[in-house]
Amino acid sequence: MEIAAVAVPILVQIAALALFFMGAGMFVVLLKGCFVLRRMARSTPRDYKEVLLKSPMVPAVSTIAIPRDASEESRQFTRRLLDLHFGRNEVVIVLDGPNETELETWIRELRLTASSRPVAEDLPMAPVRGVYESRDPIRVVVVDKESGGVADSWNAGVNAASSPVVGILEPENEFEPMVLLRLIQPMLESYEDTIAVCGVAPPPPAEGMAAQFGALESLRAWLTRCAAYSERNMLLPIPGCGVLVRRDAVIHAGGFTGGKLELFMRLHALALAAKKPYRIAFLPQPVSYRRVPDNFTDLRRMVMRDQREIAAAYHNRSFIAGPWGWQALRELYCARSVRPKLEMALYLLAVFGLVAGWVDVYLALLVLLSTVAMGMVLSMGAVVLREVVDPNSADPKRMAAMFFAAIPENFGYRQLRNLWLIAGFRGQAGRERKGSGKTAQGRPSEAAVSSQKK
Amino acid sequence: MTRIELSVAALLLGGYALFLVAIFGAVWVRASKRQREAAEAESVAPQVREALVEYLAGSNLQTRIREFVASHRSAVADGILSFQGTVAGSARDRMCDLALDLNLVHEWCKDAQSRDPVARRTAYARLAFVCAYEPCRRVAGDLLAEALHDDDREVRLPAARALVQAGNIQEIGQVFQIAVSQSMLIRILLTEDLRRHAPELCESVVPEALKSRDSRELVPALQILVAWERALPLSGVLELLQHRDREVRIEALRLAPLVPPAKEIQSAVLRDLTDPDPELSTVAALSAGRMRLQEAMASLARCVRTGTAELARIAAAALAEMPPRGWQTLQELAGGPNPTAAAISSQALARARQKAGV
Repeated sequence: MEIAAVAVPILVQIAALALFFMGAGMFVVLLKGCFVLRRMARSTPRDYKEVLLKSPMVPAVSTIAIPRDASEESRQFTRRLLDLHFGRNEVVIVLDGPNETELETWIRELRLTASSRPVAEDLPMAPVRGVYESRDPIRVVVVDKESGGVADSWNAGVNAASSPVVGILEPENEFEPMVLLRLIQPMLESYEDTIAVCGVAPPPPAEGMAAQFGALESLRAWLTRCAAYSERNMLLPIPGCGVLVRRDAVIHAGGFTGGKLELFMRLHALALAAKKPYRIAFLPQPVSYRRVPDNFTDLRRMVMRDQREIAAAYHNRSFIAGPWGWQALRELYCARSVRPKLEMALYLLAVFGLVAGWVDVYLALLVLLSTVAMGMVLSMGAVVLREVVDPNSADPKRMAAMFFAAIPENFGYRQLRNLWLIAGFRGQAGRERKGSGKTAQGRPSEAAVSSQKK
Repeated sequence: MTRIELSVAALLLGGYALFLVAIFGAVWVRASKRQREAAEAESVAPQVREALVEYLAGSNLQTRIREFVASHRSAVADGILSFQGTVAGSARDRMCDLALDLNLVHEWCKDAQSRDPVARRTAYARLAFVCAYEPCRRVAGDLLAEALHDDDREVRLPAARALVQAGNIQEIGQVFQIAVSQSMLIRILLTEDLRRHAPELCESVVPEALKSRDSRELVPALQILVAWERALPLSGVLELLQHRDREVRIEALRLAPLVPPAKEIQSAVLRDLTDPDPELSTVAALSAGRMRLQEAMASLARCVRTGTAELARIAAAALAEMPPRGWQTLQELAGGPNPTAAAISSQALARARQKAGV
């Protein structure tokens, strides 16, 4: 008991200080992100979408869609892709083991007819059952294949794509019809070196607590994972981003092993191993963003999905990116895995210590300061820094609403989010251990990265 | 000890928080001001435009416009610039003359020397429009020509576009060289502007560029010519069709249908149809179709039968461009023993018939 009486306050103190310094580090990253965005805002070229729309020199793009089913929502999403404004945009729809009814629905929806168009086998994928093209004058290719999972479907999409650039947009994102024209511009600025472009902005603020918390979440990720990381050319995609990536780069990387995050890690790793100049460009404009959640269930789904993707990338880091895996993910790992666990352990210890009389009120205040107060400062900082970067982004009332949403965010939601993050990370770890992950097929080996280095 | 730590942490966080609240206040005030200004500009812009339209329509009353210049100078400048691409000839000259009269051009020339990159870019974008008018050009002097070598691409680009609009052939040639040597984005943006000067450029500038031994210069130059999509009075393409660099050969093949037909060029296209490089033979098939090369029919039919699926599709499309013999060939292929070739041929034939309304 006596040992506990001495050990608990010391542990609480150490953990609180560690969290305080992590928070301070995070604030520095946010600041860095702000400086990067400010610099980009001053040097970003004008928008030339009208000229790019008409020019035959702009490379063609194949936009890939992986609809989960043949529901109205999925069909609407493919319609949105077909409505994109771009000179040469081909939509590749990959149906991952659809049943007859679903296939029939797609055939009716897009007026499909069987096509002799080949599907390359550059990347491993489940067997293709059929390829269809529309009888209407729309550039759409539908690949019907055996079920193989999400990564397998992305690979099939890349195989079927006939364009040198592949577009990746997701159904839960809001994107403008000009998204491809805006995304291709940074690629054209340095076509030889640019292997991918990632365009995203935080969602516009919306009414409701869940929406505000979701917007704050996206805002922090945008400032750190996109802006701050892009300074050292280590950009990692966040939920909501629209991506253009060169098809040859995806094929060289061995294709998708999971989501976009894993693909980007792999691209970084191969380019670093090859020691050739490369660039993954960041477009901090509202070309695409994740819809803000309507309620807390939606918010939870959003947080968990992102966390699972990070966890999968972390668990496969050496497999995907060799020695660069840790380099790319170390800060994310600290923020998304170490911090929530440490913070929850600290709360438990502090409460237990308070009840037992081992932790005095000053130490308890220190705990609150390094968790809740630090969280508020970070969220408020993100709102203010965003406004510093782009003064035209929001109206003052909405900005104020978001600024003050940082207070309730850190009382209750923060702790709940910690639990979601821990569950998300652990859940993915379990899945990886069981080997039932979606990424097993066609995963590039560590040797591939190493061989690039040689 | 804990109290000291708490005090330090509280002090630091308090400092952060105060700093943030102060910035928040400043940003809030600025955002409110901007919102008011934006709303005002939004309400003024249509009135400015209306006044400018009236002026363009022949009204010589500048009183209203001068009032706007006094109160909303930037809105007037933006209003003038909004006519870029929509007015030409005497109407554009009248608009440029107005800008000169209102002393805006002198002001933009001054802004072009600014240290603020945003102000400089805006100034050059505005000057690029008005410098199509000779008196404005005189005021701007050598600003645009010097800007061609500026470090900022967003300054180089409007300057280059302005020179294409109103420069002499030497200056336009200089812009062509810039288009060839710079990024793909600049090339794309300048290609359309240079298109209308294609015949003059093909007299000396383009042939000179095509003599380059460096493929990194040749390929972009050829890409520009291909993107012009117009008949070009060019010779010397045959040498490029036999170039050792495959990228050059591919672009030259794309260019072949746009230059005056010659037996040697046709032979080169026919030869490349059988090249083992699938990309080269695919582009050759595409060009053969565009050139309606009757002599290529046998080779195209062979491509449909034995080529990669992509080549087969393009070759079939090329045959579909050459009725009636091409259609006959496709019909024969559609009834042939090779199921892939048959499917591709019948699809190409069906599309061609649908297109022709048969």
